[in-house]
Amino acid sequence: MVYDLRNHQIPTPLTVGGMVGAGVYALFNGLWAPVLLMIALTHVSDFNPREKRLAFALTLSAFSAIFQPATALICALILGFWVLWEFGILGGADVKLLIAATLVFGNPIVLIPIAVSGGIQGVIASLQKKREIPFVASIFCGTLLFVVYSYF
Amino acid sequence: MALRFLKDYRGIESTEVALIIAVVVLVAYGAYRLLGQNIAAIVTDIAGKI
Repeated sequence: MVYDLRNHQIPTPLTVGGMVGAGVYALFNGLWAPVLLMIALTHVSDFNPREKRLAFALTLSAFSAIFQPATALICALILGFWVLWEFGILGGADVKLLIAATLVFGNPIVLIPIAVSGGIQGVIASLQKKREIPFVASIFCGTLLFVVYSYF
Repeated sequence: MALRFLKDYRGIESTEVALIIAVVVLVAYGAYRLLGQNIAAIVTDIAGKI
């Protein structure tokens, strides 16, 4: 988060390490289809042209959801994050952290406090006439909120 | 090598995007609360047929 606030960039080893760690943790929790989808989408990202990437991503996500229906929503979310990155709406570092958070908790509800934190951050930034925000702060605050809330 | 996604270290979004994501996630959560059971049943049904 400190890196993002300072430079609006997050070192690749931090985000990739987080994503790999989350993937291993999710595998131990039985979320194999979303983890395989994450790996597959990482590879699909290098396909050309974009239509081919999108077609492969959609097909792989559908297969992941079908092979492990209990994780269909997580697979859909991973696809959604990836598509947002593909169209340049979200930064790669943020998408990797969002995927990691989703895999670690195995519960898409974690995205609600993250999204709400992002919305609040967006409103505050708009009032300050800022055009851009470091979204990783919202990811951090939202995840923290989710963890703390689960203890009450 | 598959590196384009992994190498992307951008960590910034526009304020509009953050607001839109907040709205979309809340609406999606509301829809899931309403239709979640039906969606799960359809996916399970397709998985069973395959």
